[in-house]
Amino acid sequence: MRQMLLYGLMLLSVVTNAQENYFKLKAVDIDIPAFLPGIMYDSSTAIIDDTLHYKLKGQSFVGAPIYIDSLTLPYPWKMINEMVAAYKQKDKKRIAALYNTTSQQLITDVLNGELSTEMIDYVNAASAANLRILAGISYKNGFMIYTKDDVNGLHENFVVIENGTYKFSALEDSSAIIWNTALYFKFEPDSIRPVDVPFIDSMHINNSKTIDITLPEGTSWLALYEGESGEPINLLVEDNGINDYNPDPGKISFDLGGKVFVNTGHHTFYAAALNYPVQSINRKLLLPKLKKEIIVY
Amino acid sequence: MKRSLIVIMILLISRCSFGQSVMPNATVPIPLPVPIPPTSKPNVPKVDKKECTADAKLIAFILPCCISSDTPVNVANIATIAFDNTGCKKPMVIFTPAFIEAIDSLEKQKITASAGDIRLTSLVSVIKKNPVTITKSAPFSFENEAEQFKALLASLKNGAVPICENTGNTLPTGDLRYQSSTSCCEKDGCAIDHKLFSGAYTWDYSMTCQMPVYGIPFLKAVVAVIIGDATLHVTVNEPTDCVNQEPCYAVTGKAGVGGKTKFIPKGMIASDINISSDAAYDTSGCRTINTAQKFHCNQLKASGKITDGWGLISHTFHYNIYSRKDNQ
Repeated sequence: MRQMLLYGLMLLSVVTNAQENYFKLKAVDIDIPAFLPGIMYDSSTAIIDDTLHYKLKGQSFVGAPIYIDSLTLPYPWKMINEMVAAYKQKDKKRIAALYNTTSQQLITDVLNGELSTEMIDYVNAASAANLRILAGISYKNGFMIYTKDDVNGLHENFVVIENGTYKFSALEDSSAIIWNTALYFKFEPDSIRPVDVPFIDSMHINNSKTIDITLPEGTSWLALYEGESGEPINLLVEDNGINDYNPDPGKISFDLGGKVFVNTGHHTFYAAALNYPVQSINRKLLLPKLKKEIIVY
Repeated sequence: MKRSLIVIMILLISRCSFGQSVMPNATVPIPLPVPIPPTSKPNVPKVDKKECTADAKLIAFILPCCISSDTPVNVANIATIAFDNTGCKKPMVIFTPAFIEAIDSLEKQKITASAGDIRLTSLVSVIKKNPVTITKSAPFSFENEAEQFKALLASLKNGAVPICENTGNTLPTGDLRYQSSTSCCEKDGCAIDHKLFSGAYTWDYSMTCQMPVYGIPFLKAVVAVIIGDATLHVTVNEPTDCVNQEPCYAVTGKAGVGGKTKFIPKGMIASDINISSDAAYDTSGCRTINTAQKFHCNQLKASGKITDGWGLISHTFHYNIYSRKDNQ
């Protein structure tokens, strides 16, 4: 009996500690590749080695996200639990009560407007699609919580304390920090990987060849490009997305046309596998191990 | 008697030494040998009869590039001919035609010079001193520009294969005309059409492409509709002359590339995403008839304002989709 009580006390202690650990404001260093699509110029931070270094305050769970249905969390994360519960019940009054005073008009208008059903269904769909917390960052007078689901991707939730209670709040923002940080959590960029592209040595500019590739694990995009830093990418292929007609996950099939290289002649280009799309070339993408050669005639 | 004999001898020697000058009546008569009286002195240089029986051969026949005249031109008066030194007897040279008349074009007329079994030809433009001025439409095509513009839009594909449609065609509207009159140039002596241009052509071209945009944090991707427009005008400001024989087509105007997203995705109350660029057409220098100057687009930007969270959170943004360092 004493043993059981001891086990019970230990378990309670673990749960309490676990909950406390879920909200510890600390320094969060986020390194964002400068060539992620959408990166805004930010005068508040230097770009070193093609990377934006942000020193923020908050908590990040990238790589080990918190799934909403797995735990009852402490505040401010608990706001996400409460939002999911309120939307699940489709209780408009309860939903509106989650928002602060200055946001009441906005949320009431949406809840009573023609988009009301669509909004509630949207949140419920996200909740049912592995909704998870990626991070929370202290920002202005509140806390920006980034969540993600498998269907709609990244969501942002701005939380403030009003009269000692956490509330969702409206936010009108134009800062590069919050935009670039959101892009980081959208893409969760991993390392650039070389990929073995079975190219032919040469091809006619008006011909094309079907290329089949198994992407390195953890990647979902293939980028082919030539040129200098800042120039656009020649070809992007997304696993089960743009330019890919192979339905098997992890495998891509695409048509490589000579016109991808624009002009005839000897071309030095690069082939990289990534877990995010790239829209322009950056020095980090011009690594020797990614280099390929082809003659287009 | 002695004096006249010396004159006759000088004449005879000069014929053998310097050949015959071309007479104005097209055929060049060879005078009959002058009989030498038996009383002539023995110190007169002997003429090698064997050498003088051989005809010299016509080796050159040159005409000026261009002659300006209102009356028929006697070819013999403008021709330069030369013989080799195989003989002292110069054969008669016949020009066909012997006279040429001015025509209202740059077309060269072919003249043949015949001497014995030698026939040489040469060309000459003969134009009137007061040529007729004609007015014509100047040919011009924007086909090269259209190809370039298509290539430019294709380069904006952003890694994706763009789906593009074009409107407009390569033919310009308007009327660029020139008054042309022909004259001989002093510089190289040849004929040229002096052209005085007036009017202008205008070319309107448009392409619409669809392009994915990945840089919005709260959207996987959005499809932007990119529209490329080019409006160009071509004029020729300076007349052509003997120095500037090719017209300098001055092409001015503007090219633009920009667009918007096609739809408002779920979760967005407002989605105002604009695509803009620094697209331009190189208007410096002259455009020749067969070449095209380049379109440039070194920077493509996205900007706008999105409101997500069902109207609660809005972001104003602006970023470069790409930014080339150098002109491409």
